[in-house]
Amino acid sequence: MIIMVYEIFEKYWKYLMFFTIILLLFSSAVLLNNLFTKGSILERDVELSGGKMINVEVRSADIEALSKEVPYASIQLATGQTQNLIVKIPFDSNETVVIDTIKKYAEVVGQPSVSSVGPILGKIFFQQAMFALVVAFVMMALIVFILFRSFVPSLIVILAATTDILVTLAFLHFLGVKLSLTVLAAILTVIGYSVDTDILLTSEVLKSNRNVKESIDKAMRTGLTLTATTLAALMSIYLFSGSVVLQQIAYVLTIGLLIDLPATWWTNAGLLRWIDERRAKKS
Amino acid sequence: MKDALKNPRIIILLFFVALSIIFIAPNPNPHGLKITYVSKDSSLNLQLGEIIYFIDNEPVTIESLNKEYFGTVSIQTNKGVRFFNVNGSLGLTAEPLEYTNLKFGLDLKGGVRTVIEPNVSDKDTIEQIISTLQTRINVYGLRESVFRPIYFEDKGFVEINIAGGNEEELRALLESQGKFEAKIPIILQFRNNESTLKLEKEYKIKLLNNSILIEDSNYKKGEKFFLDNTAFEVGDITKENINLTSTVFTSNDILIVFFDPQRSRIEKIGDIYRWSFAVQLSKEGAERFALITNNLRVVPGGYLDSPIILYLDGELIDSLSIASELKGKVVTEVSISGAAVSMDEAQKERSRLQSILRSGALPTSINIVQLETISPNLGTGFIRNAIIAAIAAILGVVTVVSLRYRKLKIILPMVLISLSEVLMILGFAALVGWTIDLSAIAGIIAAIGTGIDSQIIIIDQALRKEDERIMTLREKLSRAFFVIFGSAGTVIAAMLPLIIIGFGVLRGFAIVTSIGVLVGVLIARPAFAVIIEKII
Repeated sequence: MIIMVYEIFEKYWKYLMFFTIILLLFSSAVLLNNLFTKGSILERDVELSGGKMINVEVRSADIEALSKEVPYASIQLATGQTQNLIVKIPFDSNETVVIDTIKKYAEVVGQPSVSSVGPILGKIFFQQAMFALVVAFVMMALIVFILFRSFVPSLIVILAATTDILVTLAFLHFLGVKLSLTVLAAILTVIGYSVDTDILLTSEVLKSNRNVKESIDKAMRTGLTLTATTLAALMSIYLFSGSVVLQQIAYVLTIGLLIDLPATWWTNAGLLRWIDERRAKKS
Repeated sequence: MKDALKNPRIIILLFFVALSIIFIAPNPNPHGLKITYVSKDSSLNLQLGEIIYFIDNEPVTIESLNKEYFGTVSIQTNKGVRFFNVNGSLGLTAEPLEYTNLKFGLDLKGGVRTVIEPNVSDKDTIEQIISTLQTRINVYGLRESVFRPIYFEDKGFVEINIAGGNEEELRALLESQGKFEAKIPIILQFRNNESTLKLEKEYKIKLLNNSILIEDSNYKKGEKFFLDNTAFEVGDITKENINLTSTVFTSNDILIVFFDPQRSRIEKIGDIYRWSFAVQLSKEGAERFALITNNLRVVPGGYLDSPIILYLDGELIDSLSIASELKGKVVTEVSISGAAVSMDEAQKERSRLQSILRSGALPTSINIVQLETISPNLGTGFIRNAIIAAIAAILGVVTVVSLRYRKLKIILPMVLISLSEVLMILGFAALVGWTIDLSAIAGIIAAIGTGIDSQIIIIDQALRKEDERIMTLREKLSRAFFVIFGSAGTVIAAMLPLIIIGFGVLRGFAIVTSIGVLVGVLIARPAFAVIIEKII
């Protein structure tokens, strides 16, 4: 399969390069639209806007009936070895009433956990989250520049990382995922993880004595193994952990890693090849 | 293989793994109780963290620790056997030893996580709030609490994690500012529109139209003034008399809150449970009491004509009649009492007041801005799930790697090195006393994921056969390390802002990920490279 993918790239690499660039432009437009209409690039979850969250283990739950009874709540069911029902309600609503309603429509095990975040603290969390995101990105870019000490290849790596983050965020928007501290942690991990393959590819191309085509081929073998192992681990966490936090991290990371595949092996590799071809023509 | 064991990098790895196991200290058969709190009133010279094994040659239990003792008691701890003279309770709080040194977070064992915002938030105030609340929670008897100040721009917060306890109890305990006041209303009769207030000297009070004149100052109803270091509030003024309410004791006057059975009791009277406990007051407060009660009159029944009324945060908690023989006396001990419908409620109410009075007043009022209760049964289910998910993740990774390399001698070291990393991260957590919670587990997973990636990069570089003439194995590995250090650097760079500013949940994740990646890059990866060098 790897060989097949590689053949497609061989044939069409000059066009494939633009696939993630177009995705990136489209995603940027979506996120900017969110920023102007909702005040945040991704709609905020209770943690970042203020609100209450009820988390309870259940044996079974009639989610449809429940959401009819409490229309103002957002309801989620995390499944694993145990099932957990997560119900989010506005800060000023009464959680005991909602818990009683949950008990009517679901077979509840043990005591529910309730967490509440005041609107002011939510706003502070949100500001911190945005600050962390920007600083993390800048720090990552700095490390890449220090690593390669060469402007254009560094820029290409950073472009790939930008694609990963922004396209992942846009996907989350379309999948209806809201921005929470957990999602932020996952996005930051995407920053760290996704540049791995780009660093691998770029260092292979820059430092190897072989020609660019061969270098990309070598790097891709390793890089696809990296992604495959990570995806295998994420899949197990998603299926078996039964924890909403871990599941959400696994979910976001999976999206990020899948987007990283074309961003690295089509766009990043394509650009490196294109630079090499131009250099060859000049000399 | 023997060669490999002599390699310094392997030795370093084995050393740290061994060290981690010691730090985690698996304890298959724990016995004894670890002291978590020593009351200031305790006559025992024991320290926090000491482990008690025997009391009077009997294995210690929570019950035997909370019993009352009289006379000489022998206590055997990890520091040897000692004898103490005890009169009443031991004044210790302790918890059973755990199987390991690892602390599990609230999301794994249940409890309450809350963030409070003081109305004044400079550093000193926040430190004082933390120390006051810590005392309150310890005196109240909750098992474990962690306090962390958080500063954000010009705001300050305190994050509190408490194992056990429920939301209602904690709100009552934390939100109370703890301002204690004991007031005595004085009713002075006017004779010819004049009266006298006897304090250190005698003060003449003149009745004017709807106001009074003391020491050339004019006061209306509701106004306050100070005389001889005592606060007074003007009450109803009539032609016959005036009501002056004096504050005799405040939080600062409480020196000792008594917990011993003679002075801290619960009695069943009919259907209700009456609780009481005594507090010792400062000399200044006691002298104030003497001066004020000089102005009261004896009424039939052997009492003075005004009671002493106790308030906590402006709410009445008790009103006590004052025996006539106490008039003008320096009284340093006051008994506070109340009633509840059940033994349990009586105990909780008494404990709450004792802990609030004992800890003193907060320097400012506070608001609870975030409160999260985590049910413990969510935790036990989670640990089971986490283990299953971890095994599944290992199997998944091993499957992918097996498909790629098809060699056990490559796959086995990979798995072993990754497990050693998990051990080292947990060892570090045990050493610095981190709590393992959901976000820490997510961090461990992220770090191990980076580790597996790095190992694949090393293997792939080492396995390149065609380059042998151009590039030695060492050179190939050094190229692998360029990528590994680079990617580790970017992961840590992405986590750094969270470590610096983050609130609880995210911060734990970022710290564990960074430490995990560092352990991997500095200890595990060099050793893995040595193993691969020997194998290939």
